[in-house]
Parts: sequence; structure tokens; C-alpha cells
Amino acid sequence: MSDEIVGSEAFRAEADGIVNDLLAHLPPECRRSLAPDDTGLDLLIGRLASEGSEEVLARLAAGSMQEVR
Amino acid sequence: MRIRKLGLRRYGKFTDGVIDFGERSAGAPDLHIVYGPNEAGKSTAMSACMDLFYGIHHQSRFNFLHPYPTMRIEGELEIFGTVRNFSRIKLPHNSLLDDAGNTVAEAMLLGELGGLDRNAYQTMFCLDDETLEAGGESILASKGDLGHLLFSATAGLADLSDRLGSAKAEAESFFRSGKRSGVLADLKKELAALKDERDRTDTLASEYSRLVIERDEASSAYTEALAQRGRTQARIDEVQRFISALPRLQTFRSLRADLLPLAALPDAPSTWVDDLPTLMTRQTKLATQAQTVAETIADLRDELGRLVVNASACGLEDRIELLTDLRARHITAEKDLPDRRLSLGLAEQTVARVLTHIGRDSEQDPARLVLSTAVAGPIRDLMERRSGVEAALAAAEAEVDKAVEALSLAEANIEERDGGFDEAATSVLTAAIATARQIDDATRSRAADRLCRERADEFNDRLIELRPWTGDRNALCAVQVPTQDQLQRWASIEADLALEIASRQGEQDRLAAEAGRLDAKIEALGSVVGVVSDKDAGEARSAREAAWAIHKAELDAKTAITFETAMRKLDLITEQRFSHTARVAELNSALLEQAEVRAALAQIRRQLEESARKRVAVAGEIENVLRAIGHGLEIDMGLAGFSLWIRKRDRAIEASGKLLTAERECREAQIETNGSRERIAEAMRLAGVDISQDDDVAAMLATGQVALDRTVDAKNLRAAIADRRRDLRFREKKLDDARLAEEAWNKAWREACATCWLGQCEIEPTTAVVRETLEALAQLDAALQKRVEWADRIAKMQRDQAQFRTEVDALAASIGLSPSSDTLRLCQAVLDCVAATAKMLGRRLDVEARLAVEQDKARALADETAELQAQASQMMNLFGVESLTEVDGRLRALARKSDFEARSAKARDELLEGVRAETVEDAESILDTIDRGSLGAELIALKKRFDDEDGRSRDLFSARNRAEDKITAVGGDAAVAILEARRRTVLLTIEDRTLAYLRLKLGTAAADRALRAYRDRHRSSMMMRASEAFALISRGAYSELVTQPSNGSELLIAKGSDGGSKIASELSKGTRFQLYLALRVAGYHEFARAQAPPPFLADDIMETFDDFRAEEAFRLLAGMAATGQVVYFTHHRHLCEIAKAVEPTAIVHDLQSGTRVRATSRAA
Repeated sequence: MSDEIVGSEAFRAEADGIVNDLLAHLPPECRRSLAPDDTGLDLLIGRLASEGSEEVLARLAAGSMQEVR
Repeated sequence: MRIRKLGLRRYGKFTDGVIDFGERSAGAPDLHIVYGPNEAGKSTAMSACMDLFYGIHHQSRFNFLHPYPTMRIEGELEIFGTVRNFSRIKLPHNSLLDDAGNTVAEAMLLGELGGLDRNAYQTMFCLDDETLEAGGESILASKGDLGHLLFSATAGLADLSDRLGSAKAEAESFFRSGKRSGVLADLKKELAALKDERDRTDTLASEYSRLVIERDEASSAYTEALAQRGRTQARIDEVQRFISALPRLQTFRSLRADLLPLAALPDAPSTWVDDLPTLMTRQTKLATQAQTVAETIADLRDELGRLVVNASACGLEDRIELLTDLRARHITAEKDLPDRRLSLGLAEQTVARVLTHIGRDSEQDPARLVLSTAVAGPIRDLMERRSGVEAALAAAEAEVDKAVEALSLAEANIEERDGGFDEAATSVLTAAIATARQIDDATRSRAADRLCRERADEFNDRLIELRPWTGDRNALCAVQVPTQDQLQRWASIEADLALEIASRQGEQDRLAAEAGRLDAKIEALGSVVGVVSDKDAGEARSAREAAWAIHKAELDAKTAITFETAMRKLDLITEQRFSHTARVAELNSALLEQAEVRAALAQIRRQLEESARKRVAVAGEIENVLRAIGHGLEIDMGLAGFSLWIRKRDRAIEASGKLLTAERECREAQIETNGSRERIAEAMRLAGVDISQDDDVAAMLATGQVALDRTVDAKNLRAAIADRRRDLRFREKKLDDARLAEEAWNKAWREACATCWLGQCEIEPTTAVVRETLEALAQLDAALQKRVEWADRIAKMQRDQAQFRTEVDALAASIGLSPSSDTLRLCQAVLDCVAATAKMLGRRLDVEARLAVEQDKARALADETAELQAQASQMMNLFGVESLTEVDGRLRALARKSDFEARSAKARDELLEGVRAETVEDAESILDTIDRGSLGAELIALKKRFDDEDGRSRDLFSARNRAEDKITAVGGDAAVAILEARRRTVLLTIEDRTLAYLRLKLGTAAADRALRAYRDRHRSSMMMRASEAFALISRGAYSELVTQPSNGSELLIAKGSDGGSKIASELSKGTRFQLYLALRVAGYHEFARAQAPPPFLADDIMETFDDFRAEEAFRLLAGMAATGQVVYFTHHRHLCEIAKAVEPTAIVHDLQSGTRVRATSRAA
């Protein structure tokens, strides 16, 4: 999933929309801290997308382990 | 991978259990049914499979019979094309062993399992009732979404939709676009409240200082009040101690007077108080015991004098014992002799009967007829061999007949099946077919064709990504796009402008806020009475100067009044400005600052407009380029969207290049396939095989193979005829050998009979006659032995009776008894006399022993009495008295003295403690001078004062607490810091929750996209299989599965045989189970399409199926078993029958009996 989906341009555009939508609602201090500039914002989106996909996969796997038990 | 044998050496309830799946038969499904009733160990066996692959779980529950260190599972597995043996033991590491006991790397099995870990294997290749039900529920939760259903079925993740849904809900609890509620909104409200509170706290700083001073003063007063109250309390305690000490002084003096008369008593050991009663008791007891012992000794001496023994009857014990034995034999002989004589007569009759039976009734010496083992042994051996010789002869004759028949049949077959090809033609044909199969151009061509289609699909996907641009392949290559430098320049300009605008916008906001603040400040200062600005003061001064100028010119009353009014107004303003100098200066400063801020605000607005104009210019350039590209491309997509589109275009061009390459390879593969076909056709024509011009390579190869098979069959038949002929010759030789063996036996029989009286008969006896004769001789031998034995016993009994009579007579004479003809009665008289003498002697010895014991007791009592007398004398001497009773009185007086001394010491200590004096004399002198009445009056006054002081302390304590509370309520500097810290904490919380939200949100978005991609990739093949399986298992109630787009996803719909249709989530519960099973079957085949599947294990999933559904489910499992190994565990006997009916080659394994039953043979 990380290579095929997270690396795709379509997903990147969707992720940009999600992140910018939230940033617009944050207090200015938090906005500056999370994304000081465009480069920082790009890095943040890439990192969160990778971590998020791993976390969701882990949740699905954890659920299947509970079923096995 | 395939399990050929599962060895449950020591695992769960199994000890040396084995399930032998055997070798897979070619062309037949690899379906196994493991049957066993409840508690037979089906689930244990299934678990053992998993533990063999992945290791025994560290907290395995299968150790109730075999403890962990002894657990062992063995397996014979087919991996990497070979058969290997493995063992699994219970260890944290290195638990997988080969058949030599050496450690094997886990990767060897994992690689064969496709890299699946234990959980993935269990979810994908294990199925039981619970997972089937959970799968049905997941269909409900997915609301029919096709992507979810296909992925769930292949991966075995039952509640995928639930988990994705819960992750999304968790994220949206923090923030949801367009909604004002949520955790983020709450945190922002808390942030605003903290800011307001901080602003309010700043205004209370001065009040805080005043309250601190009040608090300090209250604390000092409270401390002083506490000290005074402590001093009063100390004096109260002292007065109370003196009052309490007065009665103790009286007690002390009384005890001192009581002790005076007891002062002369000597001290005695403390143990005497306890020893004295014991001493007196023992003295009395010893006197009584001494008297009793003396009387007993006198009685025993009298009894000894009365006991007299007969000396002539002593010392006869050995002879009496012999006499008793002889009497017993005499009595037994009297009783048994008639029976023994009868048995002897019967044995003689048996001998006569046997002799008559064998025709030797006139024989004088019957013992001569009994044969020795040297003679009887060879005769018996020859009789046993006779049946073998006859059977071998008959079998050899039958085998010769059979071989003759087989040879005739083979010779008849060869004439029918001769192929007609010579060896050279066969060699050419074989080489041609082998070469064609090795090259396999058809496979390469199919692969190239498939690759070409995949590349085309990929290119089409790339073109779709470029939408709304609608150009084709040629237009794509012709598109003129800006250079990378140009894009970077635009991006740089846009970034700079965005930064510049944001910065200026922020500055504008700041200046506007500042201007507002200054306006409010000026308005507030202007509203204060007496605060007049320089401008207003200047206007008043100008008004006064103008009035003066008019009055100076006119000099009348009206102008004078006007001038006076203006002058008074200016004076009033000047006076008020003097009294509010600081406020006036502040007002002037604010006015100046307001002017500066307004100028800066105007400047920043102009700069903002300039930046916006530049941004519009850059956007215009980009739109011109987008317009030039055309084909429906949006001109307002912006620089970011344009850059993204260019990257997609590059990927589309790359996909186009790959498609070109694939198309070229496909053409080349087709050309080579055609060439290969021509070569094969030529080779087959040369070999003489007829082929059609329309046949493809596969058909030609099949035709050639049929011809080759026919030639090989004929060759095999010729070889079979040669084998039959060799076999016939071998059988004929065996028949000759059997006949020679019969002749040798006849000769040995004659020789054996000649060695005994059997050879003296006129006719040679047969084996039947000899067998009967040998049995009769065995009876004769036994009867002869019995006859000798009974005669010997009768003689011995008569001898014992004579010896008994002699011994009785001799003993009676020695002890003086009269002789008698009744031997038994005389024997009893002798025994009675000897017994009476022995009894008298025993009684005398007993009395002598008792006398010796009593004399020892008398001596011991005398010694103990002397010791007691010495102790009593010591006590009486100490106190100078004559008896132990007087000693007891002295010891009681000593105890009273000790008690008085202890009480006196206690009273003295309490007296010294109460008065706080060093000696008793000091304490007495202090207390003698005190007046009890004045002390009581002082105590009452002190307690009253203490109550007053205690009340004052409480009041001061309350005042101090109130001051503290006021300070806490105001907050002060610390409160500001705390508020700031709380505000920072809330900001950090927002950041953390924001990151968590984005992780979940992006993760679920990625998962949704992955599911859509999976659906698009596997839809066609899986849908086809799932549709077939569902129609089969529902027994035609549903004809097929179809999909329908809905809100960006696709729904799975089941079409009924009656023309109706239902969304998957709306099916009944039982039908959902069947749909899930159908999807799992399709998922299994999808996996198998990519790689060889590992064994599929199912545990009684048909509990709720009727027989017809179960039949169809077994048909699906048999279909899976055509690809890989499928093992079904059940405790229902009828399911075994259904499985065998559906798939005759299915193998049933019975766990209880350990048998392995195949429904029919593979050949059948």
C-alpha cells in the first residue's frame, strides 16, 4: 500500500486537501509549528501518510489476531 | 507445500498418533476428510498442523498429558518438489529439526508458505464455523461494497468494514469539515477562555500586593496568640501534676511503714515457693510405696514354696515333637489306605485296555511297546512334512496350467495391437515432440500477448488520470509543456508572493488592531473630566485672544463679558490640565501614535495591492500556457495542479513507451511460434504421422503423442510374451522338484518304521494308523507310571504305622505309665503328663522373676527417701524451724515483703515524675509546703484564661485563612504563569491530536484507495468464480453475482433465479454465509493463480447446512482440491458419506481407529 497508493499523485492531491482543510481551522501558533513553510508542509504530509497507512494496517491486523484468539 | 504425513508423537491427547495423507494421485482432487467423534482430537490435529509450520505456542494448552519439554510433532512434507521429514519440539528458538535431529532454519518452511505469517495463514487458509459466521456479518457491515468484500474474502479479514469505519469515526470525533462541534472546537474554546482570564488577571496585580500585606500581619498575630496559649497550657499541666502527686505521697509513706516489721526476714531462693509443695507431696508418696513393696515380697516368697515339679518328665520335648508327627502320619494312613489300593487297581485296568486297542493284548512286557523319543521324533516329523509335500505338488501343477493360459492370451493380443512403426521413425518422432515441448513457443506467445494487454490497460489508466484532458496517444506526445526551469521560476515567484502577501496581511491586521486600540484609548482619556488635549487648549487660547482683540477695539460691556467668559474658560482649562498633567501627556502621546499608525496602515495597503497585482500577472502567464495545450484542460487549475498534471503526463508517456515495447515483443513471439509450428509439422510428416493443416502446435503434439503411445504399447506386449515364456519354463521346473520331494519322503517313512516294532507288521502302516498308535502309546505310558506310583505309596504308609506304635510304648515306660493295647489313647496320656510338668516349671520361673523386680523397687525407694530428707533439712535450717509447715509460713511472709517493695518503688517513681524532683526527700519537702486549696483556685483561673486564648487563636487563624483565600482568588503573578502554562498545554494538545487525526485520516484514505485498486484488479476473475460458486452452493436459487456503481463505489448484487435481485447486505443470514464461502473459494483460486497454495484446513463449517447444501459445499472443496491439498475435519458420519458421493476419490481418515479409507480406488 505504501508504494502503490501513498506514492501516487492522486492520493497526494487528496492528502493535500485533507491537511490544508484542517490547518485552516487551527490556531495560528499551531499552524506555524506544524507547517512553518511549504517545504515543511510537504514533508509533514509525506510522513503522516506513511505512518497513517502503517497504523491502519496494524489495526486491521490486530483485529484479525483477536479473531484468531 | 503438501502434508504427506502428520505425526502426533506427543501432543495434546495423542501419543504416537499418525494421520497418513499419503502421496497425491495424479489427476484426482487432493481432498481428505478427517473423521472423529467429539473429543477425538480433530481440533488438536488442526492446531498441530499450525504448530508444525510455525512452532508450538509459548503458552500452548496442549500440554495436559505431555509436558512442554516432551511435546513433539512430526511431519512428512512435500516441499521444493521433494519429500522431507521435519520435527517440531517446544523450544523458544531452533525448534524445527530435520530427520537427523539437526536444527533447520524456519525460512525453509516460510518460503514454501509464500511468506505468510501464522495469523495470515489462519485467516486465509483456515476456516471454521465462527469465521464463517463472522464473514457473513462482515457482508452486512460492508453494505455490499465490492472492494471490501473481495479483499475480505481473499485476506480472510472478516470485519474489515467495521474496523475501517471505527478508524474514520475516531478521526472525525476530533474534526469534521463543515461542523462546529468536536474535540478541536472544544480545545479552541478552552484556549479563548484562558486568554480572557489572563487579561483579567493582569488588572488585579495591585490588589494582590495589598492582600499579601494583610495576610502577613494576620500570620504574625496568629503566631503570637499560639505562643501565649502554649505558656498557659504548660502552667495548667504543672498545677495538675502537683495535685495528682499529693495522694501518691500518702501511699508511699504507708507502704514504707508496712515494710518495717518484715525487714529481718532472710532471703530465700525464689524457686522454694514452687519446690516446697512438691517436696511435701513426694515425701508422703514415698512412704506409702515402701510399705506396699514390702508386703508384695512376702507374698511371692510364700507362693514359691508351694510349687513342686516332676523331674522324670522333664527334657522330653524332642521326643514329644517326633511322637506328634508319627501320630499324624498314623491317622492319615488309616484314612487313605483304602483309596490308594483302589487307584492301583484302576491303573492296571487301563494298561490292559490300551494293549487290546493296539492289538497287543497278549504282550507280557507292556513297557517294551512304548517308543523312545529318538524313534517317535523322526516319525512325527515325517507326518508333519507329508501335507506340505502334497500341497507343493498340487500348487506346482496349478501354476503350470496358469502360465500356459497367460502365454496363449499374450500371443493373441500382440497380433491385434502392433503399431507398425519402425525404430528409426519412432526416434525421429520422439525427438521432434521433445524439442517442441522444450521450446514452448506457444507459452511465450501467450505471455507476450498478456503483457501487451496489461501494458495497454496501464496506458489507458494513465490517460484517464490526465482527465479532463481528452487527447489521444499522438496528442499526448505533441503537447508542448513549459520547461522545468520555467515551472520552478513560477513556483518561486508564487511562493515569494504568498509569503510576502501573508506577511503584509499580518502586518495590516496588526496595524488595524493597533489603530483600534489607540482610538479607544483616546476616547477614554478624552471622556475623563479635566483632561483636555493640546488642540482643545490651543483653540480656547485662540478664542481668548480673539475676544481680547475685539474687546480692545470695542471696549464695551458686551465684549468685556465675552472676553471674561473666554478668559475664564482658558483659565479653567489651564487649571484642569495642571491637575491632570500625566493624563494629558498620555493623551498627547496617544494622538501622536495614532497618526503614525494610520500612515503605516495606508502604506501597507498599497504594498498589498501591488503584491496581488503581481500574483494575477503570474496566474495569467500560466493560464495562457494551459489554454495553448487545450483538449479540455482546465485553465484555472493553478501552478500546483499544472505541475501535477505534467508529472502524470510524463508517466503516461513512459507507459506509452512500455506499450510499444510490449507490442513489438508480441509480434516477434507470434512470428517465432509460426516458424516453430512449421518445423514440428515437417518432423511429424517425416515420421509418418498424419496431421491436419488447421491443427495448432498443441493439437499436433497430442496427435504425435498418441502415435508414440501406440508404438510403446506394442513394444510392451512383445516384452510381456517373452516374460510369459520364461515364467512357464520356471513353473515346469518347479513341478519336477515337487515330484522328487514326494519320492524322498516315501523312502524316509519306510526307514523310520523299520527302527521299532511298527516295522515288524506284515503291512506297512500308513500315517493315519501310526498317528492313532502313537496316541494310544502315550496313554499306556501314563498308566504304567501311575501303577508304579500307587504301589510305592501303600508300602510307605504301612511302615509309618509300625514306627508310631514302637515310640508310644517306649515313652510310656520311661515316665512310669502302664502299657495299653489302645495305642492312640496311651499316646494321649503320655502327651498330657509331659505338658503338665512343663506348665508347673513355667509358673515357678515366673514367680522368681517377679520377686527380683520387687526387691529392686525397694532399694530404689530407699535411695529417693534419703535425697528428699536432705532437701527438707536445708530449708528448715535456713529459717531455724522444725518442720516443713513452718517453712511454708516463712515463705508466705517473704512474698508479702516483696509485694510491698514493688508497690513502694512504683509510688516513688510516680511521685518523682509528678513533682519533677531528683530524690524522694526533695519531693516530700516540695509537696509539704504546698497548699491544696490555693492550687485548685489557680487551676480554675488558668483554665478560664486558656479558653479565652484558644478562642482568640481560632479567630486569628480564620483571619489568616481568609487573607490566603483572597490572594488565591486574585491569583497574582503565579496565576498568570499558570494560565500561560495551561494555554501552552492546550496548544500542544491540539498539535498532538492534529497529528493523530491526520495519521488516521490519511491512513483510512489510503486504505480506501487500496481497496478500490484491489477491486479493479481482481474483479473480473474473482467475480466469475464467486458467481459460479454462489450459484452452485445456493442450488440455483441465485443465478449469478453482478456489480453496480453507487456513490463512487460498486455494490455487489445477487440475481435470483426468479429475476429479482438483492444487494449482498440484504441477503438472509444463511445465504450470507454461503455468499461468504463462495467469496472465500474465489479468493483461494485467486491466490492459487499467483502461486502454489499451502494446505487449506476447514473445521466442521457445515453445521447449519442441510444435506443438499453440504453436497454442493463439498463440490466446491473438491474444486479447490484440484489445485492444492484440502483437509476437512468433521464429527458427522453422514458428511463423510456425502463427501464420498460427491468426490469418489476423497480419502476418509478415521481418528479413532486410525484407518484410512478411500471411497474408490483411483483406477476406478
